[in-house]
Amino acid sequence: MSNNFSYRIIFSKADTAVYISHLDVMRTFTRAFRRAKTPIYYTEGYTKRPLLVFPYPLSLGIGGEKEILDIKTTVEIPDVNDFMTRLNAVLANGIRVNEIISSEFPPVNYAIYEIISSAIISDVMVNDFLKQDSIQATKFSKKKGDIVFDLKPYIKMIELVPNENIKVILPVGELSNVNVNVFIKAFSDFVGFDSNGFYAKRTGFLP
Amino acid sequence: MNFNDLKKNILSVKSPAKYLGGEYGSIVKDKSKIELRFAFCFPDTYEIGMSHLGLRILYGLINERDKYWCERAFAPAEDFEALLRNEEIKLYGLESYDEIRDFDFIGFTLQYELSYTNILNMLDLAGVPLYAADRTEADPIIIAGGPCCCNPEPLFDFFDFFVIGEGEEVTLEILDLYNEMKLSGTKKLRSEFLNVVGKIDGVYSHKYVANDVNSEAIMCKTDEKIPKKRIISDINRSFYPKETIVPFNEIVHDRAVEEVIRGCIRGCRFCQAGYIYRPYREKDITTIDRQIKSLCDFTGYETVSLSSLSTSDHSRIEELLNTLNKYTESNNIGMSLPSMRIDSFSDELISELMKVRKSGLTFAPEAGTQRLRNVINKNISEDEIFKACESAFTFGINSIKLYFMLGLPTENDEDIIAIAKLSERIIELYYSTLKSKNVAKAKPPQISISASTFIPKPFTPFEFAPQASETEIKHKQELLKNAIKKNRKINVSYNDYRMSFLEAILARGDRKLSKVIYSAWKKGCKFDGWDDHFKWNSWIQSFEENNINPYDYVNREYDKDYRFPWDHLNFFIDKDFLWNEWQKAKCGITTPNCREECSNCGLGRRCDIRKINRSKYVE
Ligand code: SF4
Repeated sequence: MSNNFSYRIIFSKADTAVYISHLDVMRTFTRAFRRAKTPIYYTEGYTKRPLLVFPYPLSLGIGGEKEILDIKTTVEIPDVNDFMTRLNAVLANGIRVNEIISSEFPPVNYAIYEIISSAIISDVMVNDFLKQDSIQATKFSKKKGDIVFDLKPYIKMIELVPNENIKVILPVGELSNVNVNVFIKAFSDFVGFDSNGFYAKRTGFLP
Repeated sequence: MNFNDLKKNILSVKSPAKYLGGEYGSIVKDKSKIELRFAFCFPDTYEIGMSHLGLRILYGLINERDKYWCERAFAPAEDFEALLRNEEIKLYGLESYDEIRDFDFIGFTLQYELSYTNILNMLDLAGVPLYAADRTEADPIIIAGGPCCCNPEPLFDFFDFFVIGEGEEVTLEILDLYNEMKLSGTKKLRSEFLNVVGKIDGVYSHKYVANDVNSEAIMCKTDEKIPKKRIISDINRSFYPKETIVPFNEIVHDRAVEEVIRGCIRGCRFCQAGYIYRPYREKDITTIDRQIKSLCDFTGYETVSLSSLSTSDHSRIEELLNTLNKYTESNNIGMSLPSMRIDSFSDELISELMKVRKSGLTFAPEAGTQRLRNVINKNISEDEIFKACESAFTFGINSIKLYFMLGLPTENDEDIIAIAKLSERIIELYYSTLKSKNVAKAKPPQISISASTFIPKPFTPFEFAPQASETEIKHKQELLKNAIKKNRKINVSYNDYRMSFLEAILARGDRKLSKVIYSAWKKGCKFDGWDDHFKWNSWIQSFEENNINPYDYVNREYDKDYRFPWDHLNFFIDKDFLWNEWQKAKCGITTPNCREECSNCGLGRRCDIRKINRSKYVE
């Protein structure tokens, strides 16, 4: 592992690309790197695999504006801007690389989401939702099935932004993680709307 | 259709991406500049349809014309069909989201008889009248191509016309004729076009009528020519996609595909493809090399598959693989070689194969004894199977998959028992091979037998043969099951007899069957080739309602003078030749492959095999 170079790729996922699974995003990038003749570092061993790491994968159906993909290459990329252009030329519609960072990846602990609702959301609803002593939410675990927990301490911030969209900041990562769908379900149950009428996108990350 | 209409509920369906298009390589054009729109419909799932080479060829071919736009549509899975029907969304093209009923053409490819009900379902979802006779100027022209068009009679009433044979040249001739008439402002364009399209070679239109419903003979009511299949003029020059779609989700064959040969020299008597894709033609090494490079460069695929009916028959297979290897090796691309005949395996080839196929090896002896293999003209000897298995075992392979057919003409109990014996001897060979190589801790061998029911298909020597009855097949399945019962290293799988029975009926059927297919679809039949969808009782009821006895179609032997529903279509295969082959089959006499000796099948000057053979020795 000594002779390789790390890059952080910041990309967006919009339009129909929102509806492709995490595995499909991985496959899409693997092939795009091949098309762009990127000197991707392959893992050693029986089946060689390109080393692509998506530290905060997105659920199917959630858009992303500043998603993170960490890669390693076998040679240094001399001009990252040129690399970005070549990569974008061979990526499917809806997936765009917006930035490539070659050093100092900032730490990530929270993610910012913007939630668009087909029904109008008012300040009162958001305030009442937050005023609860505890916010009942349900998350699903493969081992334990449905788990009911209090969501309130996990909500770092919530506010109504223009166009009646909700902006919410939730923990992300290995230590603490809340899927935005869990939030949407809790909120829509509280206000009595159909959760299918909500559409979320992740707009960025915070330390 | 609007994307937002779909968005609301799309997350409730499985793998929504396959209904949304937008894949890398899919072609979106500026609608205002388009003169002609074509919907390529595949009557099966996205995963199967996108794995189909013909779709990729025609999609690329039509879209190469700036003013034509070809889009795709597939048979939706149950959950998505429910969404479409609930939300009253009509079947749309994946590229534009526009309803395909507004297109100029809707073209289906007929790959499999058990997808016929899906065609009706897709037309219904599209909002197009199912019967050709009910369509008006406002409707698109509904056409079909593909191998099942060698007997399109059961679907005759649903299509405006069929395209017989290879589509690369004739498709553009058809579209150009239509577009010319459209641009010149032809009134009643649709009916005028349908009146004249029959003049194009390879078009089989409604001008042909059954002269009476009880006899299956079909005559032309005008002086139009006998519809004959189209054969492309030069496989090296013919259109092949350089750029092709790379789906987001995993499909059945998720790799670059290069067609290396069309046609087959072998003449296995049960194999329809072996006759209807004649003559045998191969691509030059330089063509293959060039096409693979551009495909892999464009798609970024990590595997390329060489496609044909029998890849090892390429007259320069070793040279070909060596050439390709230079590129694939240096670019980390795996080569997959399905359809390799085992009698040509050399050690080099096997080591080539093993690089990608670490899991197992597949053979299709089709029959258990040499006697029966002679009957079906499948010229593989047991020695050849053993030799190939032995080298596979030395490369660390422990699982072998064997394909057989049950119910072949002249088959007896001995032939069935021999399937079990052959499998057992392969297991013995596994242990003795490893022992001689001093391999201590070997994985246990695994033999998988797939035993399907033989289907007598049109344009094969077995078109005269009966299909075995349900009782016979049940007996054969039991016999095989008992013969291998003791051995846990062998597992056997059968397909549902009734499914093969239905496939045979639809493959051999006449025009009367369109009513039955319609009734079956009305009763909810679709995806008939899928075990979890197959509704046998609904089919039986549909036959009864229409007073048609399904057993009439397949359970008897036919004589030479019998008029089959497909006899009026010219595939350049003489019926005399097929009859002769059928007689030889019954006596167990084999026919040499086309490279050894020409058997005068009827292709005449259309066959170039002597030239190909000669070129092998040039350079
Ligand atoms: S013409 Fe002769 S060589 Fe050619 S396909 Fe027919 S039998 Fe084979």
